[in-house]
Amino acid sequence: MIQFNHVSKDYYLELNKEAKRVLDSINLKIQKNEFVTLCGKTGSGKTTIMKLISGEEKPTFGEVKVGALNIGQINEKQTRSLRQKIGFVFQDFKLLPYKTVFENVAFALEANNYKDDFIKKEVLGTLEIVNLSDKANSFPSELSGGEKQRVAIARAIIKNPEIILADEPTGNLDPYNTRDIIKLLLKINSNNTTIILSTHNKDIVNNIQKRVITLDKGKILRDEKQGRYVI
Amino acid sequence: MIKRIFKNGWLNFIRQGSLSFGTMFAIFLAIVVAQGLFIFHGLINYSIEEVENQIDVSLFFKEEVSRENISLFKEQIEALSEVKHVVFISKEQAYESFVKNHEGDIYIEALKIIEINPFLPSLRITAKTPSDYKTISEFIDRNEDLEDLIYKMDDFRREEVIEKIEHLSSNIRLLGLILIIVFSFLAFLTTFNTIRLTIFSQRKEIEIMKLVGASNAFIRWPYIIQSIFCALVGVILSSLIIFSLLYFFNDSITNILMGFNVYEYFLSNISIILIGQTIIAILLALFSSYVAISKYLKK
Repeated sequence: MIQFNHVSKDYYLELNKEAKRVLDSINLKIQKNEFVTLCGKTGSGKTTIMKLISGEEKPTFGEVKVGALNIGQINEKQTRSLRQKIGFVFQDFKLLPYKTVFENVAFALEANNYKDDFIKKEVLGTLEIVNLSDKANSFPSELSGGEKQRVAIARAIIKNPEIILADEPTGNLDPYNTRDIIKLLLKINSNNTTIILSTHNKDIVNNIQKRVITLDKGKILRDEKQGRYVI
Repeated sequence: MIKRIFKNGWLNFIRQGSLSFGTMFAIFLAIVVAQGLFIFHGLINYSIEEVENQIDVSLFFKEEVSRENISLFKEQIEALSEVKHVVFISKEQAYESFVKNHEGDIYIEALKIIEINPFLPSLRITAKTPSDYKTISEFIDRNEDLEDLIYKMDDFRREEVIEKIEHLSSNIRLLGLILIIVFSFLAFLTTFNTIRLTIFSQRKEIEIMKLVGASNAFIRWPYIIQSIFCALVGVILSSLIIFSLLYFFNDSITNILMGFNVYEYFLSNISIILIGQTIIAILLALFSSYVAISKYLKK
C-alpha cells in the first residue's frame, strides 16, 4: 500500500532562493492492485507524486510510505530495493540508446545478477507479451514511438514489479498506439500490479473508468472511484 | 557479474563509436606527448653527456718516464671513485692520431722531414661528473712523486669553465623537468576533461539505469572498462605510429638531433616505455572516468 500523510514538497529555486510549494499537505492512500489515474494541469504536482513514490524526491513535510518503507528516511540500498519493486514508463520512453531491445529489457534483470538462461527466457516471454518478439535485436532508433513505449513497458514489467509508475506514457503517441498502450497497462493491472498513470488525455480517463485523482496547484481537488476527466 | 560488466564495457566501446574515439584520441595525444617527453629527456641527457665528455684531463709525461711508472700512476688514478675512465696514449699513438687528424696540412710534411716524434706519452682522464675534476686535480697536486714525472698538465684547472658547464647542465635538466611536468599536466587535463565530457553526455542513461534499479558499481564499471579499452587502443596506436616514424626516418631524425639515435634509445627502453605508458594510460582512464561518473551517481 502507498500512503501520503500530510505531504508537502517544496522546491528551492536558486535564483530567488524562494521555496516553491508543488505539493501542499496531501493525504492519499493507494491500495495494492489499484489502477489510479492522476489528472491535472502542468505543474499541478502529478510528477512530484510519482517521484516521491519512487524515492527520487523526499517530502519536505509529512510522510510517504511505500509498503513498509518511509521514503523520507530511506538510504541508498533501500532506494535500490524499492526500485526493484517499481516499473517506470515515461513519455519520452527513456530507453538506453546503445542497447538493443533485448538488452534494454534484460538490463533490469542483469543488474540484479540473474542467470543468463533465466534472463533470455524472461525477456523473450515479455517481448511476446508486448508483441515485439521480431524487434529483439533492433536498436531504439530503429523503432516507432509506439514500439519504443512497448519496450519501456516490457522493461517495466519484466521484474514483476508491485507498482508501475506511468508518467504521460501516451503523450508522444498517436490514438492507435495510445489505445494499445492503455490496453497493455490494464492487462498488467489485471495481473495484480498497481498502476499509477498520469495523463492529460481526456478520452483515456473517461474510457477506463478507474479511480481518478485530480490535482490543482499541489492539492487534491477530487478523488473519485470511477472518475471522469474534469479540470 | 564481472563478466557482464566487461561485456557491457566492451559493447559500449564498440557501439559508442564517436564517444570512444574522442576518449581514445585524447589518450593517444597524451601518450604521444609522454613519449615525446621521454625522448626529450633522453635528448637532454645525451646532450649534457656529450658536452661533459668533451672535458677531460690530459696529463703529459716527460719523455724519459717509463711505461711501468705511467701504468702505476694510471692504476692510482683509476682507483679514485670520481674517475670514469683513464686512457693511456703512447708517443706513437699521439703521432699517428695527429697525422691522421691533420692529413694534407703543410706541417705534416715538415713533421715527416724532421723524422722526430715530438709528442709525449699521456693519460687522458675522464671524470664521472664535471665537479669531480676538482678532486682529481687536487689528488694530482698532492702527489709529490709526480712533480718529476709530469711535463705538463693541460688546462683542466679552469674551474670556471667546468663550473659553468656544470651549472648549465643542472639548469637544462631543471628546465627539462619543468617542461615535462607542465606538458604531463596539460596532457592529463585534456584526457580528464575529454572523459568527463563523454560521461556528461551519458548522464541521462546513468539516470535511467539508476531508476531501473542498477547498483552504482553495475553502472560505473562498464564506463570505466570502456575508458580502459580506449586507453589500450590509444597506447597501441601511439606506439605503432611513433615506432614506425622512428624506424623509417631514423637517419634524418638522428641528423636533426645532433647524433642522438632516438630509435636506438627507444628500443633500449622499449619495456619501460610500453609498460609505463600502458600503466599511465590505464590509471588515467580509470581515475578520470571514476571521478566523472561519481558526480552523476550521487544525484
